[in-house]
Amino acid sequence: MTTTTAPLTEHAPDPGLSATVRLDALLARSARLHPDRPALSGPGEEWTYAELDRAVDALAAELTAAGLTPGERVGVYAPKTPATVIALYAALRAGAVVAPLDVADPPARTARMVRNAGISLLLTTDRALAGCRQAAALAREDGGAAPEGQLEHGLNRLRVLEGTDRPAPLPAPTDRGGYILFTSGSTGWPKGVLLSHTNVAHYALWAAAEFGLTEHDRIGSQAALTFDLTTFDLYSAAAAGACVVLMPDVLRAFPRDVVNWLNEQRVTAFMAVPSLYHAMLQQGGFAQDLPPTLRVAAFGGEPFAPVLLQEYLRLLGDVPFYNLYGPTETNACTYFRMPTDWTADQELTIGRGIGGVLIEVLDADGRPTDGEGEIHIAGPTVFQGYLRDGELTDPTVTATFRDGVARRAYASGDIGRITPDGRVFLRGRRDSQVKRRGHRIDLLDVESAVLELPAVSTAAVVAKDGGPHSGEIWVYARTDASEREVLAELRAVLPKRMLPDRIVPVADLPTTTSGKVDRRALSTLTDTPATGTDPAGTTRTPEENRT
Amino acid sequence: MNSVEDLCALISSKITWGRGEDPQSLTPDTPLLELGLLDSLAIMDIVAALEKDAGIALPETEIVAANFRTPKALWVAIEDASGGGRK
Repeated sequence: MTTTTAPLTEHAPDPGLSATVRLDALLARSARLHPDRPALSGPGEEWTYAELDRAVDALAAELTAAGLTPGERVGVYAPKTPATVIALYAALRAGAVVAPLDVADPPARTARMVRNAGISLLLTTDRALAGCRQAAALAREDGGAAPEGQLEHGLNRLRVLEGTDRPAPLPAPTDRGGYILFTSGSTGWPKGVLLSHTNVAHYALWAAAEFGLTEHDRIGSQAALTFDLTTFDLYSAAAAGACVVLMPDVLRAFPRDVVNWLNEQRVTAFMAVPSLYHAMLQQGGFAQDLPPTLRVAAFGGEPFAPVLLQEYLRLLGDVPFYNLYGPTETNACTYFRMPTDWTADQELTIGRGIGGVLIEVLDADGRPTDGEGEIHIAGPTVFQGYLRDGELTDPTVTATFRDGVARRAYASGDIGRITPDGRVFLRGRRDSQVKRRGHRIDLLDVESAVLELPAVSTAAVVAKDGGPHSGEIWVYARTDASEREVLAELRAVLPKRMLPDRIVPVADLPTTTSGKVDRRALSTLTDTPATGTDPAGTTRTPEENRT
Repeated sequence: MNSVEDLCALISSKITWGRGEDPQSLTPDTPLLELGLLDSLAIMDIVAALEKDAGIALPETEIVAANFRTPKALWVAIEDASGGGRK
């Protein structure tokens, strides 16, 4: 076997150890400590740590033999199955910088991720092969079919860039591997968030220790692997020798199925966005079918409806329920264990920095403030930078925290305040980002996609503010095309979660006195177009609308 | 709502079809979930439209993946929910 993993000392999970930890070494360690414990479970199959580690070793060797070099960027484009997890680990073990990709995204968007991140090799399953071929061809300069090869476990490899066309290795530490998650940018090209092994492992080890995970835990993994919450599922499980239980993708839209699955799979630890918790309580029968094995749960990614949160705390009783906060760029970086007697009338904090991570709130002049300001994050979870055009740019700043120490910090764009005892309260955003089911969406990303359509001459995309459509994404566009036609075009370039709720044809966009589009006015505009413009019935009336 | 074809038309109207995709192509056996045609929003829209337009209140216990695999599967669930044999 050609593995290059650094040895990992055999201690209990401890955030202090993460300085030298590789994600695939967490797996290797658990394979030594708990060889016969279940590591990975999917529909109809289960892998022990020893089996998983051997499969990962073998596939890593296979990839290396097929020309994969350390530091190369590899996309894993596949539905959520055990083979996909094996592919992720194997690429990591072979020294690759690994990017999970979502098969539900349009190939045109996947191709932009591949190009922007400088991904040169794609791994996919047989079932996702057709979509992967499309994305690979779109990503290649020549538009031609990518050379392919078959691998173990029903996996395939597709070469997007060959030989010297491959981008130069990234700077240390990611020259020996890392992780890429994508986030909505302001240009229509998803930004690759480059994380080192340590960035992810620090959080994974912290969470495993904080939640007291052991080899007896079963972690329910429900979200797409492109979603930052899932680094907990995979790597905290590996850190503790716990079993990660993969939920089939098709169940994700059905809260009733999710609740049944939590019960059937005897899940003990679970992390999800509030949207899913809301749905599990309101439509999924969670209150009647509380999974008896559940012993720790967490949420993050968007605000929790206070009344429902209070209800969860009542239902969960002594089961710890954690509020986690953190942009993809820093992993989860603050935490708050909800008091069981918390009530909906109380302000909710996102808590304090996780072990080793420091949080500061800086005012407009970059000085620490006790009032509202921008949340800055420093410490071992802060990412390496963004990948654009295959190149790394580091957007972090040097910020002087209130202890007088200057630190490399990520300016989150989130507005909040921090109390003298270090608890952070969120207030909002400074830019055009919104959250939908925990996914970060830059309205300018949607706007770019709209503006690229030939049928649209000009457009503005806003989040509606107030009224029955509050929070919805609306497009105001000068176009002769119908709402349905514009949506059909957008469907080819945007993931479903980013599709606007409405397209409103307008003669002209309102402007401010300085001549800029008046987005504020558009976001509060209560007029809706005549329903006659929508004969096909795509319009969602408020009562039918999202929960 | 008299037939599985009617149901196909209703489901089709709640899907955001992409360019070049034919809304008429939906058949009783189209694997809706496998093809990624339905997201949680579309499912809520279909359930709401069934109730509003056809007076069919699908119990929450029936809003599960197994019943949304294909239009035919949903049609069977609807028939079961309305005590066999639709009006």
